[in-house]
Amino acid sequence: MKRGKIYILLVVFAVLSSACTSSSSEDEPVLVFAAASLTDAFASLQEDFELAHPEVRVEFNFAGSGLLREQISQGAPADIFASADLGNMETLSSVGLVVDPVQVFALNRMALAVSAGNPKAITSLVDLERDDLLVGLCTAGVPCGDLARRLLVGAGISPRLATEEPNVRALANKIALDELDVGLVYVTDIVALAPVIEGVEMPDDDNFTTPYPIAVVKDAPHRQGAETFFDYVNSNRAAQILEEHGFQTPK
Amino acid sequence: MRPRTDTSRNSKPGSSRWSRNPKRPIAPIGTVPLLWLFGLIATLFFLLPFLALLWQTPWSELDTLLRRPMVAQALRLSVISSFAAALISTIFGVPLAWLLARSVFPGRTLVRALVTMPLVLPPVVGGVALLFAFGRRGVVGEALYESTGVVLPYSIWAVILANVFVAMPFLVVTIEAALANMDGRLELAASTLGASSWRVFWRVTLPSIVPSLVAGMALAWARALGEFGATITFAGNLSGRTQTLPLAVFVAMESDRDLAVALSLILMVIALAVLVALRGHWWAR
Repeated sequence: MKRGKIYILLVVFAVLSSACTSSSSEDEPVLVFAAASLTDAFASLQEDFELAHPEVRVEFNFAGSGLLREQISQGAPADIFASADLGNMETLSSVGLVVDPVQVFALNRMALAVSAGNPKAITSLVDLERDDLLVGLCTAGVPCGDLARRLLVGAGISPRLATEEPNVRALANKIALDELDVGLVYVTDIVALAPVIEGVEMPDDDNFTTPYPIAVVKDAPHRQGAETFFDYVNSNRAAQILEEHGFQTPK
Repeated sequence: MRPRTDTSRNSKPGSSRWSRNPKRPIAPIGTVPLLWLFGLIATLFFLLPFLALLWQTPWSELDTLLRRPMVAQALRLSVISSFAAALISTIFGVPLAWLLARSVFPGRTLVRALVTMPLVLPPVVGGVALLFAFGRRGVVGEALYESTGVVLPYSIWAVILANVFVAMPFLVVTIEAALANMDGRLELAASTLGASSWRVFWRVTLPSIVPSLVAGMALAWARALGEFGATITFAGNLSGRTQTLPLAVFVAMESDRDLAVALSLILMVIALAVLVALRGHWWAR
């Protein structure tokens, strides 16, 4: 009985002491919450950034912009939020969870992605209504899904869908695996998966373009490093890397 | 801190079904305090997230949220595919468990390891593997597609297949353990009395492992009901066709948290109802 009590005390002590030792320190990485479609571009940015700023390390949490927004509003220890749409960023800035300025650092374009060589001869959005094709979109509620639906509604096209993928990378990968014939993805995804998939040219129309905003999170645990990364992402040097990945950058 | 239900159970030992079992002695509350402490911590660990979920539930809007057509469709699909998966897992899993427990054949250890793979593998990887095997360009799927034009992914069959892949191991492991532990003398007696080996299996072996069979089926069913990763990877996500409740929760999480919480609530209610019913009727001693 007596030994039992000692054990309990030890356990309680261990729990308490470990709870007290977690505090932020300077060499912890800046945690960047970034939209899934930024995965490759931000990996390149990270390499270049850490060369230029060896004192700051960055780590990423890539997911759908909506999920990231949700995690941040639930108090996740994010330093930076980079969204694939304005809506999710506005939700956070309207309640003061990110600090001004919110900066658009890149633009992405939507395009039809098909297998290399375009074996099904897909040339425009109208082809999505063909019933010999397996058509995929991103699900409604994620930026690529909402944008795709806006475009389709605008063009009066209602395709019969095989699947609504949870994020744009999952969709692009299914086209790359030839498990889908065509889907509306971002140019950056086509660049990333080329030459396995290729893009079908879309009209040069602003409706096909979507802005990517970035902001520092209000309760950022590593504020200083976060601001360094924020400035870097908006620099000309970063713009060049983003363009290599298929993004356009604001002039 | 003591759970009230346990106190009341203890207060009238005559009516408790636990105390009637001589094989399972009852430890009065508070004995072995270390076990009680850790047991309580474990209970809280499971209880807290569910309480938090209930706390976040938008009760006043629940009715409107659950009336959306996608909810009924996801519910229907989840119920059908999970029960189908449990049934298929039983039809193929029981013979497999029997082979593993009762036969000696080359590569048996390998087969056993293979069966437990889906338990270890992240389900998304399982989904990709299924795609490589049964997708339109998969090893088997391509032949199927070229000869019949059938595409397995994006159909309810793909949902069921993904469910079976992740769920059957639970059943096989449970049944194999039961077969390994059962008293072989009964089977021996039946067989010396002239029963055919099929008859022995059907009339002696199977009835004596019914509790484990039910437990295995329940585990497999529950795993199938909650299955997400393999399903969304292999079967895709389309409301009314392949979007089960877990997929609907995940998708709603991106855009409508209230809906996501409401959907999770249905999932929990179904799971609780079925598992509690099974426990009450089958496992009670």
